[in-house]
Amino acid sequence: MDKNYSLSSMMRTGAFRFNPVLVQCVALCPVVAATQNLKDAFFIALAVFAHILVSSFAASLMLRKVSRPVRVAVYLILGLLLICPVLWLIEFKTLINLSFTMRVFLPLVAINSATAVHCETFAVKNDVRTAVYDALAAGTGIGIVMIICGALREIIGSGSILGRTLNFKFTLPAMAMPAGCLVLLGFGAAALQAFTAKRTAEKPARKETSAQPEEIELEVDGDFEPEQVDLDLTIENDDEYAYLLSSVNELIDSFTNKDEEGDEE
Amino acid sequence: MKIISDLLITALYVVFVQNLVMCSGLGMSEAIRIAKRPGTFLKFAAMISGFSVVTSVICSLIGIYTHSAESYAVKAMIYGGVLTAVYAVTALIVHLITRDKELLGNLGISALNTLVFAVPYINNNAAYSLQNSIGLGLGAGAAFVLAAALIGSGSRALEKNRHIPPAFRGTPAMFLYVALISLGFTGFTGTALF
Repeated sequence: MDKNYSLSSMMRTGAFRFNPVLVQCVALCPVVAATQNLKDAFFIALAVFAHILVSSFAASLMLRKVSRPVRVAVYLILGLLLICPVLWLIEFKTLINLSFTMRVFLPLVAINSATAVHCETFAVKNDVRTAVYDALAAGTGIGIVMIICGALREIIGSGSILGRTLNFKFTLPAMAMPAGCLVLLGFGAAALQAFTAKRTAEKPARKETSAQPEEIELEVDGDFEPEQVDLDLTIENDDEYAYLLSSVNELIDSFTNKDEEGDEE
Repeated sequence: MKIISDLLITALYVVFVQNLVMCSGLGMSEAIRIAKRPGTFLKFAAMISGFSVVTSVICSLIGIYTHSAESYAVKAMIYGGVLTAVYAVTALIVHLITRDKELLGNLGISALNTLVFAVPYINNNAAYSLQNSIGLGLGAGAAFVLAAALIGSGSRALEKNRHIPPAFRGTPAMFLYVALISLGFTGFTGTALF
């Protein structure tokens, strides 16, 4: 089948329009807890990017026939095998002085929800190229948010950037705390939402031709079991990718949520 | 008596004072996701507490017998290995007994998140005793549920509010609401906010 999408279009959709942090609410722990300054944010973003890329590649190439409970453990092991040797090298073989936060939170990247979500939703259901493109888009989206948050938190919270004092008359220490980062994420998500709404309004024709659920066959019901049902989650064009990203939360909920209807009843 | 009081004090501290989800951001993505499903709170509390207690106790014992490696990379490998092993054994038991795929899915979310993975680190850094470790593990599950309940109730109220500007509806409003709760919990810790 012809795959009617490109890296640039998937990047626009996956990294910006449906940003993993600002829209899908994944990878919040590393963003909120570990991006107190620009240097830490850069290292954490690099670790997340590498982890999601390697895990998606492995998931698409080797883990398709493995059951989900095993796959999610494999993502953690892959992350640890990727991050721990690097952390060990940094600790003992280089002069880079990692902060205490970094020493603790860098390994925690190995277990972040963005990797599990993107591997389970895209990588294991698509070919290697699609999985890698999606991982690049998601990793870039998360990395950009982390670096922006890290820079702003360091400037506003500590009155410095990359350790250099900026001589501000006052600083706001709360910005260096999780609450400060959540405020930034709130305004960032609002800006993205407003921008997307404006772009959509400017291009009504494009919106009309965007993918519709019934065309893509992504109907998910309470009994959704990807291992038993051959649900078509493969992506063939940009619109399908955008639609799938917009449905990520519902899809992930449906992975484990069979009793919601029962609760409501 | 002292053992029980130590256990309870640690558990209450990580739930109500330094809430692990709200003050540290641990397991926040999962808390936001679970917040939409109030009927599952107790199930997740039990599972997260169970995984946290077992993992932290095993890691504490390993730390005692190996005199705890100084390297954070080695610590991460040990803690991650223990967590994976605990999850694998639990999943295998569940698979053999019930073959319930929904429960297996929930086990994955409960075990493999940053909250459970961070508990052995907190034990190690705070030099907690065995009873403190158990208290921390139990408190982790309760802290998660408290955070999920607060986020869930707030999110439902925000969805009904028609005065929120369009750009802030949905996720942005939820982030700002969680920021306010987080700020409140951080205030309990006595840290200077301004």
